[in-house]
Amino acid sequence: MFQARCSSLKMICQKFCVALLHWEFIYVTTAFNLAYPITPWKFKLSCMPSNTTYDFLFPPGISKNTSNLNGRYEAVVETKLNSSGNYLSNLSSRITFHCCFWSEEDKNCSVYADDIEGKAFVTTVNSLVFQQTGAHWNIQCWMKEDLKLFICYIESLFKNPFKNYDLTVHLLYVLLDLLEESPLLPEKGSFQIVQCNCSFNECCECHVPVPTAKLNNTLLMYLKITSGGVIFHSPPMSAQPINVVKPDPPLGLHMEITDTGSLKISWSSPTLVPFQLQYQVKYSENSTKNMKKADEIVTATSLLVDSVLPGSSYDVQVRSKRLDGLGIWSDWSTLLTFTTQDVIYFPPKILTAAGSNISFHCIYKNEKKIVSSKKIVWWLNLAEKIPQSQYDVVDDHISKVTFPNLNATKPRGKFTYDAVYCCNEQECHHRYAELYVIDVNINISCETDGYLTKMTCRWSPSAIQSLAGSNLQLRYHRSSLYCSDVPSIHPVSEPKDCHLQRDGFYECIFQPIFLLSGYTMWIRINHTLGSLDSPPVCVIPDSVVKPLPPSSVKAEITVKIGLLKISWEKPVFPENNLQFQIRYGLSGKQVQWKMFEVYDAKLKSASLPVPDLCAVYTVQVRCKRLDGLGYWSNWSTPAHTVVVDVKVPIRGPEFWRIISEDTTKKERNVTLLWKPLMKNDSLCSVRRYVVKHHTSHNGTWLEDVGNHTKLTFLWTEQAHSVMVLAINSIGASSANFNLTLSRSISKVNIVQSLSAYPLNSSCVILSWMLSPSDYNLMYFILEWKILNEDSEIKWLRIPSSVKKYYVHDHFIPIEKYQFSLYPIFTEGVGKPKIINSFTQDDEKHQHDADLYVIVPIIISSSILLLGTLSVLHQRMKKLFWEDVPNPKNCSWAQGLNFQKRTDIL
Amino acid sequence: MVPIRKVQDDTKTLIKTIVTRINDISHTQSVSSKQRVTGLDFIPGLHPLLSLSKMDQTLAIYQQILASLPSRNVIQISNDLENLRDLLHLLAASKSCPLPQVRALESLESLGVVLEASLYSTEVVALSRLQGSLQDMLRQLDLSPGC
Repeated sequence: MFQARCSSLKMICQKFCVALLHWEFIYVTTAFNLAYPITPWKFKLSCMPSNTTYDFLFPPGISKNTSNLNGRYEAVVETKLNSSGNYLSNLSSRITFHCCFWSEEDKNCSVYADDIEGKAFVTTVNSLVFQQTGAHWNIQCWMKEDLKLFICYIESLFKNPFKNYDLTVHLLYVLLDLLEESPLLPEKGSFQIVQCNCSFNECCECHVPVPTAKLNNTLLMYLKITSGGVIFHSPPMSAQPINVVKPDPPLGLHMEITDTGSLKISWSSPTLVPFQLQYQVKYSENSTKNMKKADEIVTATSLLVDSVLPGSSYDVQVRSKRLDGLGIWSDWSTLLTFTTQDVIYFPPKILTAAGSNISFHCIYKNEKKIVSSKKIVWWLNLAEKIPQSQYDVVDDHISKVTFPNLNATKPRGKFTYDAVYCCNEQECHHRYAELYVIDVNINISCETDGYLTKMTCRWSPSAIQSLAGSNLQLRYHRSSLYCSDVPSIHPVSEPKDCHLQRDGFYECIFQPIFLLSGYTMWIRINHTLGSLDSPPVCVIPDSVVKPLPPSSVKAEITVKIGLLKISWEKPVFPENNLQFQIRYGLSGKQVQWKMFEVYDAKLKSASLPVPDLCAVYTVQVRCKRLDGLGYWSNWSTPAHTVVVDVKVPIRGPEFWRIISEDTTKKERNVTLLWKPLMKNDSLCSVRRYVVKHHTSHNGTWLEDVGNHTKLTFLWTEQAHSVMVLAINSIGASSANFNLTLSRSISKVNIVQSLSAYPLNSSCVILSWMLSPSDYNLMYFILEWKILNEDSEIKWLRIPSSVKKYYVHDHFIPIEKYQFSLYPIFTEGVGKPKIINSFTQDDEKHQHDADLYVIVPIIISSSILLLGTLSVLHQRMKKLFWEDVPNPKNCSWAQGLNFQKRTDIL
Repeated sequence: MVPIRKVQDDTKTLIKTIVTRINDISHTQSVSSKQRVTGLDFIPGLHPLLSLSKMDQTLAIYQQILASLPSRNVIQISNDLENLRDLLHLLAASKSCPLPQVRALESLESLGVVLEASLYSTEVVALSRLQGSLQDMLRQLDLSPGC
């Protein structure tokens, strides 16, 4: 290295007392155009005493006093020596040093010499002369890549006799304006001076700031070197900063095997320089086959090296230089070594979308020998051999496997890829290629708000969460109007910020929107292995509107008409025709909704029949575009009906009378009883009841009972007709029951028989027989009560056509009940048929019923008993005779006849 | 290919939408139609008979004015106007009408000065006149306007 060759130098010239005389004056005599042009490579400065003879070195035919021999460089140094050193100690106290520049490329060194008359002349000598004696320095100057600093680097050469002395270096420079660039010399005082930074090892760096605007100007300079008390002045040198730019070495050197199996050497270059760079790439390949070195110059920041081999190592270095015009090569980048594996997969990893087709290539090296591609077999996850039909032989060494129509990879534990192995017949190397197949079918759904100013799009990343290190981005492209028939990914797209919601969906908001523009959207999955795009969808905001719900929703049961009327106002937007849905039901915790749909966009209300006019209904309305595009709005806030009187009561209440007779006064007190009218009859409330009386003597009159359900009056005449009317806010009941109390009719008996059959404790069947009559039978009234008790009389109305009736009540079995059936004629109340208990027929029937049950039970029990006895008899017989010994086997019984009776026994 | 009938329907609906949007901007509702505001001649007035190209030109001017207004709610209207102009271009294309490119609006050079001094007036008058123009256009579209 340039710097490494510096060594300490402080030995000799302590006694040299240097005086610089007339330096600037000498410069005046130096032609400007003789300034040494700084070269892109290193050059040297050599100085030697003027009494050194070098005549012998002059080539034949060249005069010693040739002036300005080749128009190059010249300089003179005058030194005053008042001390001596090892080498220069013999020099006189006043020695003139001649300095010149030379380089390895041009070893001619032009020397400025001062003759007696003070006239300057230039002599060119071979630099070897100076190398033998004098002081020497290596110099390199360049413009830094940032184009702000000009640097000159000076180092003392090893042979320098002054090397061990204190070294001070100054650079004097002047930056000439472009217009001044003429052979005329600059003024003496126009030079600026910078002190150079010298390190302990006698290396110095001089920094000259250069304004950006003056990069094309000429920088004229010379060096003033003080070493050991001796001052050396270099000849002038010149440079245009822009022509000596030295870039920084390239960075980020990287090697990889490409998808096509080449070795790609890539690097990045500092981008400060305003011109294009060229690069020199120096690489060597060390493989089992051969050792290869190459050196290529390229303008791109990468280089492809074909035919990469497994098990090889590659050493690479890169440097850069200005492509056009002059410049200085940068230093070499740091050496990078890349070693290929014994099995090379290219590409080593693939990220792809489900449904796609991909291929892997492989070169297999086995024990220093590359396996023939024909012998290569492929395995998946070391578990499944890939069919040979999917192999291809690319060349002698490269095998290829293709996977058509891939399915998404199912993660196995933490492994989210399929491992693809390239094997040498039965032997597989442990290295594998990785195959990541992602299902990119991500559904994007959008919804435009009811104000038509915001479109919200949602999508779920759940399908691709398994791919670690990936990030997802919604990208979109807006076309001015509508969508194309087949949405496609546009090369120009914008990303959209989306925010993860609690439900795991991402939400992206477009606001404001272009209502009729087509927004083509897709999800881009970015990963270090590449990027994938989900299938694009195109959405027109106008087509995905979710309107605001209808407003001002009202519900009522219409008076006199009796329909559920619902009215609403359509939302302000959209301006398209809308359809509506109404849902309604009886209010409660769980409303059983009924639906009704309105397809007429102009309608603002609907009337619906409902079964119960006196109930509270809850109603909601929602809307959607009539053409079916977009979404249903939310349901409106619920509206409730209010129960009011809709019509006059359908009928008056059913009523009955209880007569208490005072035999002494021949007066009868009649108490009318009626049941309160229910809502479905009263429609929907009863404000009061009115009893309408009619007698032949007093005519007709009304008696207001208010809310009471009982009225007592005196029955004095032969016949007294009454009617009970129910009154609500609309009016009086239209259909009412009429009851005539007539003394003559009360003796008319048409009920021949009445029977009561109890079914259970809550129901009794009553049946009756009628005899023919000329009277106009309207209905029956059935009375019942517990016999012999002053209990409440219960009653009910039975239509005249009925012959049998189920009476539901809580009947106590041990009690006896009295049932009375009154025929009610138009002319009056007839004679009742009264029974005081359940009829005998009923008891007989009951007994018969008992008999029907008991007899079969007895018969069954008898049969069962007989059977049991029979079986028991057999068992007993068997048990008994088993204990009797067999006489043939018993010693003591042998010879006895058991069938013969003996007197002993 | 979008049926021309749909383009016509969308054009009318979009005009109605913009009219309603302007209605919803509260401070434009209180502007009296009886008062005439002077000094805002660069804002187009009402033209009962409009051709498609004239409609486009008028909308372009309004678009430029709205773009200069700072109110947030006019941005959406400005977007709507862009869509509306695109629709007019489609309608014109369906009739084989050449729609000339709208020239640079010289008259609007003074817009910046006016806006600085009379922002409120400019906004309410522009929106009010735009609403009127749109209603004219809506009527005109029913009459099948010429090129």
